[in-house]
Amino acid sequence: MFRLLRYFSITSLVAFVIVTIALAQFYRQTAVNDLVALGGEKNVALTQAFANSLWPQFVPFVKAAGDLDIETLQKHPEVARLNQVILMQIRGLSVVKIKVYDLNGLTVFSTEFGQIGQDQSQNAGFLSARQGQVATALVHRETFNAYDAVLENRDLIQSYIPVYSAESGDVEAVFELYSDVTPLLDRIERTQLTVAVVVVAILALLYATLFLIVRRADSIIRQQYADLQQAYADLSIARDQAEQANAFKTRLIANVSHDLRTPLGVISGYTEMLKSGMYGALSENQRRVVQKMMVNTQHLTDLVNDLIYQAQLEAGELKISLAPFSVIELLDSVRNTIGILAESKGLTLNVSVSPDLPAVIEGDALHLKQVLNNLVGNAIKFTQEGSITVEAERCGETCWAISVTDTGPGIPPEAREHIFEPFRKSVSPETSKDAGLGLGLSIVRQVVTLMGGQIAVKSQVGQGSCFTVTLPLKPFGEEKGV
Amino acid sequence: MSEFKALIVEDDEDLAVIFSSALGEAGFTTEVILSGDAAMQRLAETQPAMLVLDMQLPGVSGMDILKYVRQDERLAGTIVILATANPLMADMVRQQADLVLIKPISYAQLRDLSARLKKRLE
Repeated sequence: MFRLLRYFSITSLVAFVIVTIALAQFYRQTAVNDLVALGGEKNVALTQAFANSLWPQFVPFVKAAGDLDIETLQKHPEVARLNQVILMQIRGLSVVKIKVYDLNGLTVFSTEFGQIGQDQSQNAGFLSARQGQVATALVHRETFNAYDAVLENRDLIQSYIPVYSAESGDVEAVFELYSDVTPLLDRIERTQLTVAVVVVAILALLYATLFLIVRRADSIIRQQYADLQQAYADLSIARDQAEQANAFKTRLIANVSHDLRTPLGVISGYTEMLKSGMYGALSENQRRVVQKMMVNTQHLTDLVNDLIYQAQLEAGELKISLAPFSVIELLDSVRNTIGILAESKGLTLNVSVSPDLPAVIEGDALHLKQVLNNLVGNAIKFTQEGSITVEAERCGETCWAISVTDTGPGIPPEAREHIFEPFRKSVSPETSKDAGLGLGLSIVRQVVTLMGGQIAVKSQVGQGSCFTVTLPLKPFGEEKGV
Repeated sequence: MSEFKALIVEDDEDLAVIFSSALGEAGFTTEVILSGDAAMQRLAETQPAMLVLDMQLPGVSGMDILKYVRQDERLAGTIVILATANPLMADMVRQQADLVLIKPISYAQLRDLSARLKKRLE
C-alpha cells in the first residue's frame, strides 16, 4: 500500500526547510548588499566633503611624507593637526577610523597612530582606489582600534576611496574609512529571524491545510483499496463458482448424453426394425403407430442433440476438424436420419449435388450433418405440403453452398431478423404445435461460423423459405470418403 | 473371401441386437461381445473385417481397445466404426476411426453405411 501521508509529510518538511532557509538567506543577502552599498556611499560622501573643504591644506604634507622616516612622520605636527581636523569631521558619525595613504601606499595618517608609516602598496583595496575605483567590503573584527576606544566584536564597512586633485583631477591620495554597522546588521538579523518565523508560520498553515486534504484523500484511497480488495475477493469466489458450475455442466453433458442416447438408440432401432417387418408383417394401424413412434423418437433425439450442442458451444468445447468426405454420402445420411419425418407428413425430400462440386471435399462432416439435420428438420416441421429440396453446389473458386428450400409458409421480414437468436422459437401457424427449444438455428449459425462459413435466409410469406450455408471449399484429391 | 466378419462390442444388449441386425442385413456375419475385457481377448484371436466399438464400456474402455487395434499390425485391415453418446468423445477420436457415429444411431444409417464400407472390402 502506498504510504501517501508519510511521503507527503517527508517531502513537505524537506521542501519547507529549504524554502525557509532560502527565503531568510535571500532576505539577508539583499539587506546586507543594500547596507554595504549605502555605507560605501556614505563613506565616499564624507570623504568627498572633507576633500572639498579642509583637505587641500594637507596636500603638500602628504606629498612630502614619502621622504620622511617613520618616527619623524609619526611626530610630524601636520599629523596632529590632521588628526584634530578629522576627528572634528567624524564626531557623532558612525565612522570609527580613518587612514590616509599617499600614492605609493605609505600610511601617511591613521587615527591609530601606530600604523602611520606602514607600507600598504600591495593592499588590494588601496590598489583599486589608486586606479580610481572605490573598494568597499563588509568585514568583521573581534577587536578593533577605533579613534576613541577599543571596540569588540564589530561589523564594519571598510572603504578605500580615491581623493582627486582639484587642479589636475588625478588621484592625489587614498582614504581608508571604517564605519561601524554592527547595530544595523543586528537589526537585519532580527528582521531575518522574523522573516523566517513568518515563512515558517505560513508554511505550517499551508502544511496543516494540505495535511488535512491529503489525509482525507488517503483515507478515501484506503477505503477504495479495501473495497477493491473485497470486490476482487468476491469476483474470485464468483469465478470459482462459475468454473465449478461449468465443470459440472460438462460432466453432466457426458453423463446425460450417454444415459439419454442409449435408450433412445434402442427405441429408434427397434421401431425401425419393427417397421421393416423383421418381427412379422404389420397391419395398417400398427404401421401408422410405429411411424408415429419413429417420428417422435426423432424429435426427442433432435432435442437431446440441440441441448448437448448448445452446452458444448457455450463451453467452447466444440472442435471443428477437417477430413475428406463425400458430399452425396453426407446428404444421403441426412436423408436416412430424418427422411422419416418428411415421409410421415407426405413431403417429398429431394437431394441433389451439382456436378461442378468435387465428389470428395474437405470439411467437418460430423458437425455439418448436425447443421443439415437442423435445417432440414426445421423445413419439415414448418411445411405442410409440397417438398423440401437440399442442394449442394459450387458458388465460386473457393466456396461451396448447401441450400435447404421448402414450400412452407415462409418467414415474415420482421421475424427474419431474429430467427438466429437463441430461444426465438416460432410456432407453426397450421399446427400451433410447439416447435422445439428454439435453439436449432442459433446452433446452426454458431457451428457454421466456427467452420468459417456463413448462413443466409431468403423467404417470401406464402411461398416458402430457403436457407443457404456457404462454406470455404477445399477439394480433396481422388480419395474416397465415407 | 466370401465371409465378412463383424465384431460388435457394445455393453447394452438391445443396442447390440440392433447393430447386429443392421450389419447382418448389410451382409456381415456378426459376433456380439458385451464387455471390454472379452473384446480384448477375442481381438487377440480373430481378424474381423469390421469392428463396431462402443466407447463407454465397463472394464477395458473403448479408447483402450481402439489403441490396441491401431497398434496391432494384424488388425491393420479392420474397419473401425466408433459408437459414442458423448459428442466431446466423438471430437477426440474421429481421427483414429474410419467412421464415428453419435448415438442414437439410426438403424437404416448403420445398415447403409456398413454396406458401403463392405463394398470397399470386396
